[in-house]
Amino acid sequence: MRHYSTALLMPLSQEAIVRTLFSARSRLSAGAWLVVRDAQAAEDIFQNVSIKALTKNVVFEHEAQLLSWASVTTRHESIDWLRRHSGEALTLDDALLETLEAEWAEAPAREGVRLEALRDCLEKAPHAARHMLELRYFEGRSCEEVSQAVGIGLAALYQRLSRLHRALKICVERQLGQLTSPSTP
Amino acid sequence: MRSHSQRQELLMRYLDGKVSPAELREIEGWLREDADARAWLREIAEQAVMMGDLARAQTLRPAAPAPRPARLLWWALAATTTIILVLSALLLARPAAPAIVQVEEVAGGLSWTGADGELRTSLAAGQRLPAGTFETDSESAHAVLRFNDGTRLTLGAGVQVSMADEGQKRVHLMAGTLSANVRPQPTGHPMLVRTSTATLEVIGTLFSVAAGPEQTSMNVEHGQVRVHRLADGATVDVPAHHAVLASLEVRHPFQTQVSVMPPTEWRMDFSRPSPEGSHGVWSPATSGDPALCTAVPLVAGRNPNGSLVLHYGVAMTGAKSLPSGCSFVTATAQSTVHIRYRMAKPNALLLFCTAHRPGGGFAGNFELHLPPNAGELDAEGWRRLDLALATFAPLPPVASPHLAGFALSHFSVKTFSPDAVLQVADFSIDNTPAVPSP
Repeated sequence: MRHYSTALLMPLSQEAIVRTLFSARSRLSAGAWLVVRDAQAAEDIFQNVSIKALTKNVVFEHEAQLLSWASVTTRHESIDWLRRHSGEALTLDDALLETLEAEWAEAPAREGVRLEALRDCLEKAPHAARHMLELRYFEGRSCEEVSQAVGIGLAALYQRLSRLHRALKICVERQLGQLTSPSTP
Repeated sequence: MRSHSQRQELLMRYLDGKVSPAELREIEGWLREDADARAWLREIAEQAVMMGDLARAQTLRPAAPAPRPARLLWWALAATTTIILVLSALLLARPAAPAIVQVEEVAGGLSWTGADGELRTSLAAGQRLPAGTFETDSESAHAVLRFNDGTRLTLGAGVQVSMADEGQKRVHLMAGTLSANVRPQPTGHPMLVRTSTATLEVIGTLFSVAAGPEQTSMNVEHGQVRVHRLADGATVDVPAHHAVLASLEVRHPFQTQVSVMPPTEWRMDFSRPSPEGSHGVWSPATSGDPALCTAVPLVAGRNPNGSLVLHYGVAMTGAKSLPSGCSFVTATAQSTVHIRYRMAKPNALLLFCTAHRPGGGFAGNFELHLPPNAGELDAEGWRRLDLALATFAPLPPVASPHLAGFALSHFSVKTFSPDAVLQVADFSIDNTPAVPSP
């Protein structure tokens, strides 16, 4: 049975809404990317959701309510985008996406510092690896286009991308570990 | 059983949009069982998003002195924040997207959100709108939208639906119930209706669909609708006067059933918590009181300035299950509603209900106004109402002048003040004669 409190509502201010949404930007945008698989579209969806939160006539009493609403709205907008742009493209089912949202909400990302660490790791990456990642994620090319551009088979490209993601993960964690641990001689 | 590297390749193919439905189900099964796989997926997604940020910032340079870390993040966040605040404050005008639907009828509040986040509330009949998301604002809300080809969608209360038409109509029903009268669609381009658990292909039919997060029920009045259950890809064609339920539970047979009307008698004495979709604070019986339900705020509409109009009441809504769709009782010419209630402070009462046709199509909203202290007072301080449903008046736009023969999907007892503290102990509809109320 749903229960509505009749106590006086203390809505979040616009500044609080923006601050809260930006604190969760990484996971909200990642949730959108998981459906649309287009970084620019994921960013557009995050901005649309943010605008809705600021202009929609719904009162957010606390941050958890806002973030829960933002997660669901991001998922719906992402599915809408996918339907409009990719016809019947397949995506993970709603229940699984909801499970991922709930898990990701419990372990917030370290916004900001991870971006800088990733930038540093990309700058240190071998040229061929960086070129492959730039084609795929900076220019948004399909894997087939990337495989043709770099001259390897598609299956091999999938494997290399997977290993590159893992290498970036290890590099970023090392960078962040260096930031948080006492400096070593 | 795939090896680790094969699973990694399968995941990358999904992210590349190159998997089959069977492979997608395999990935979903793997992700459901493996928390490490879910964490890995997050890692890849966040890296992809961050690389998108770096691409926009264009600060990635080979072997050049890196910009100061604080400036990169500050620039990216400041730019995005500025864009969001400016757009929301100024409501930038954009070249108008082509209108695809016209509001034919509306009652109780209807709002529209465009793809760019533009929000329009309190829509009126005659307004034409482009693709976007429609939401009905209150329990009494009802709207009819007409596509350019004459196809009509009727939205009930609590509906959230997005619509697009780029040569093929695509409707995403996120919550609530809608009924549709679909004109014959172009060959090869059926209207697609998607919910969280099903996809419907509609060529030219009259049907209704109720969507929840875990199941979708659908009734067909005329024609035929092809329904795909998203959980496993199973497909069934639903003919006229039949219904189907698509849920996440793939062990249940996915088959049609003949549409039936709910029974003509129904009772809620609150001895058990009310079903899903009901509104009110339930309390179990105590030594001094029976089990009861206390009023909560219910959205009754929206003022011209966009603020909400609230009533305070107890509402019953039918569960979205077969075989009677979203309705819980069938009204007859002799139907009587019996209510045992009390209030802390006397207040006028408003009784409201929503009716549906046998095939699930919307049949109208009805209401009855009562003065304070209506009904006979008993020794325990409760009042009893016995009211003929035939005395309920239809609300405009009038779909039917009477309730007899229709199924009720929603019934609420409401007051206009939170201070009234309305409580209901018994709520039933049957065919016993009504006693005139003072």
